[in-house]
Amino acid sequence: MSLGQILPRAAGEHGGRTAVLDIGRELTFEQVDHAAGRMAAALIGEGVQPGERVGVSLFKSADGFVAMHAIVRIGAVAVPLDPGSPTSRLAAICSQMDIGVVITHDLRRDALVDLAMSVSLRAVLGLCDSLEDTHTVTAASIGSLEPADPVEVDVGDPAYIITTSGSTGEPKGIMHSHRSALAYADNSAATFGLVPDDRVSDIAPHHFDISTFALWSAPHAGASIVVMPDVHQRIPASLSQRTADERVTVWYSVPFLLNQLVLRGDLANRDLSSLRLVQLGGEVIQPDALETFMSFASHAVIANVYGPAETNQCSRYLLSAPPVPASFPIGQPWSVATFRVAEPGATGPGAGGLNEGELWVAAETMMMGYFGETTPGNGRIVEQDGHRWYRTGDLVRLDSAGEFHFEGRADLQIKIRGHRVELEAIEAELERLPGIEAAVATPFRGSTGADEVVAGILPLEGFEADAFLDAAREVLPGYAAPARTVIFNSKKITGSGKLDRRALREDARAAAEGTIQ
Amino acid sequence: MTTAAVDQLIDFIQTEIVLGSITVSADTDLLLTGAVDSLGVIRITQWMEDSLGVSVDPGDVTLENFQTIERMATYLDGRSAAA
Repeated sequence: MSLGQILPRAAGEHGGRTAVLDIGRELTFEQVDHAAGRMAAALIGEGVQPGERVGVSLFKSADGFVAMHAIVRIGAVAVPLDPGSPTSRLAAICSQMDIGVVITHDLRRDALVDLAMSVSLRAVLGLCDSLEDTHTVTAASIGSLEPADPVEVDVGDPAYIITTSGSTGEPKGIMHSHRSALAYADNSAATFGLVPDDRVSDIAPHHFDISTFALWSAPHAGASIVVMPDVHQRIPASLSQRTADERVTVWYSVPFLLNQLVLRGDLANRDLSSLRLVQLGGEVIQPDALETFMSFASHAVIANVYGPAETNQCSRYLLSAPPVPASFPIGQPWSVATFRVAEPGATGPGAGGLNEGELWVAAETMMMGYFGETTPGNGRIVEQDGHRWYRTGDLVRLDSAGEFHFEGRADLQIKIRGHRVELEAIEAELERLPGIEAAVATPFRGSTGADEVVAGILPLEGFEADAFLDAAREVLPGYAAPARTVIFNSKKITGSGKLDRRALREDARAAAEGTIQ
Repeated sequence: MTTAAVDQLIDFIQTEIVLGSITVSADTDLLLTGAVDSLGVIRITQWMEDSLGVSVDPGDVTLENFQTIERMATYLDGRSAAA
């Protein structure tokens, strides 16, 4: 079994049932299997080889589902490209991963024109009309191809890459194999009892790891997915409407979106009785917002889901009724994952057994490694006792009931609306911009009620805040770009004579939150 | 519909909200193009409330009213006429 066989198998077992509900179209398993087969044929036609990286530049749609399944079907490696990232960043990913072929659709045409000017692309697939200077395979010509069957792959071969920013700001590719992805699909489908009658929300973009539940687990179990287009995600009242109208049974998102539904989703006028399971992951849950949500979705069990993109989901805690605990546990590892808690900064998991410390994970769902890594997991993976252990950097605590709690990070990684961001990476990018002596970055809770980034700047002569914010938005993904700037007139220095970044971050946060003037 | 409201909206959205290098005009589709993300919509509604003094009902924050700056201005016109 490989990921490419999920759709052909589902087509055989559930052929006429709905696989994907998009806006204005409903596709059966047979139809998505054929669509993935035709796109696979187009990729083969462009000479795409097994193991070759293929870019996917799409907004949330049935097209994305088909593209991802098509790529793994021929043993190539899917690299979803964030539509919210600037061209320079996408170009850097394409160069680093040697991506020459990109699947897209008309809504992303302008972005592809920009990308094709920055990197040399061999072929662009899926547009209605050809690009001027880049070889284009149109949607119509793909539609006329004979579907290609899945090729044989080794389950240990790479299937897809999730890109995140490393601490230097260089893209870091988290590479999963067919084996790790299928282990996740099998276990998540079994753990949450997915059945063909389920209707799973498809919310997260494919460059975000929690999307793999709708992408692999749902069709693996013969369940339908309900695509939540980008526009609905920006308009909470429309998101809640679609959830109610399409009778979604299983929801999976970052807590940020659920908070938006509570604040602006008009939930009093929505029938959410179809929801049986709400999975939340990627950041810490706000208990009051969740309690309000539960009062509108009284049949739903809440799952607080934990797992870095490197390991996939590996633990969850279920809550079927309020109150929501102030410290919501991340629960216990499922059967294919093992946790060990060690001293923060230890070189390996050791014997584990601490009640508080840094979490190491060994799991069947773990990534192969980072793309182009020089040592296993760039030093974060250690072999011990016959397992590969991944150092998560997450600090955890084990409570008396045997449940784990997330207590923060051992480093400067933060979550902004579920997106993983390294503060050093933002700072490094900002310090490359003109007019800046030094920059710190830190999250703050703005008037929107959501976390945003504030930049604290030590300016040089001629620094201009508006131009700076514009420039920052051209190098950083939307979620990581500063929403606010705080200018410092003097430095703070540590005892050892270095810039006291920690103190400056605190000052920037306090200034942005308005707690000091 | 007042040109002033459109200009104000363009100014605010271009400088404070737009992601990447997109240049917005009155009829740019802000939502489908990805120019504005989910937080951007919230910040636009907050700005309408704080800077324009219009109270925006969550039920009014729809695709129809927020897809373009023209539509936002039309919505704002309706709000001030009703007020």
